[in-house]
Amino acid sequence: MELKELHLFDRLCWAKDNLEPHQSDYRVVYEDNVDEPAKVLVPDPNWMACAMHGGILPPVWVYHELEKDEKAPGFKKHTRGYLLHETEPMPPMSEEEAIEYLIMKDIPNHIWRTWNEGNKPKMVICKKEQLPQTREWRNAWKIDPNINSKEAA
Amino acid sequence: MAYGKIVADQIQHSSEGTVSTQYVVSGVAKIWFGAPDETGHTIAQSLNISGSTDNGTGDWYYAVTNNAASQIDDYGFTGTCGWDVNIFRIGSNSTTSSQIHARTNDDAGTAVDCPKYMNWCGDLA
Repeated sequence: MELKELHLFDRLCWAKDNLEPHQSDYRVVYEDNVDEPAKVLVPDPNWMACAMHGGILPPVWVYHELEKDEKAPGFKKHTRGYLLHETEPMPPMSEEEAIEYLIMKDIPNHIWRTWNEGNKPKMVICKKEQLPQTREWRNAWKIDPNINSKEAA
Repeated sequence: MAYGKIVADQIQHSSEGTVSTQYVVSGVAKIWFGAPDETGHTIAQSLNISGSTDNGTGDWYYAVTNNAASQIDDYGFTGTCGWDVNIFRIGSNSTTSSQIHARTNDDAGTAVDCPKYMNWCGDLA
């Protein structure tokens, strides 16, 4: 039996036992609401190892399909979970490709699809050293309106 | 590389009886994480988590890799916080089958950052 033939959860368990976790220094800062502080997405090290190994994670469209199902009126339980387990998994990704995948998986569509529309970027990929080093004013964090959108990309 | 599978409906102990593997599968934690760094910039240990999102003080999303069969808060979880008098809770309205909305408070109800640990048992999609 090949890895890709296993249920996704079994693939994750195999990965936890066999792959070295990868602590990425990348962070994704985004704003979803002007009245709320900026949010910071932090990749999970075991998930990063899965993404970079390949053959484990389903394509990101699978998550979007399940999200559509869940938002449908009357949703009670997923009936298309097989998409997670039976869709051909993603090939190995570079660290940067994995972050792009994670953005499309875990950040709302309306943020990453239009990240650079409006008065300032709504989303920025940075290194963790570029974030404030203390959380004293955490609820006042915002993306700098003067940030260069080419740098932000 | 081959990935083996043993198919069995029951497991028998030499002296303590038999248990259906259905209970073993149902009783296994399907999601867990440990985030000992209160800044949230490091997930130290985890299973079935793709990432965390720091929404502000004491306010976090944890996204899962293998969705739950229905909303994660339809099932049971346990969570603990580091330090004194902190409370770990899950926001019901904003928890889905793929995202846990975790909040940490002190005993007066004020949002606080602290180390946090959680596990979840339930059905997967």
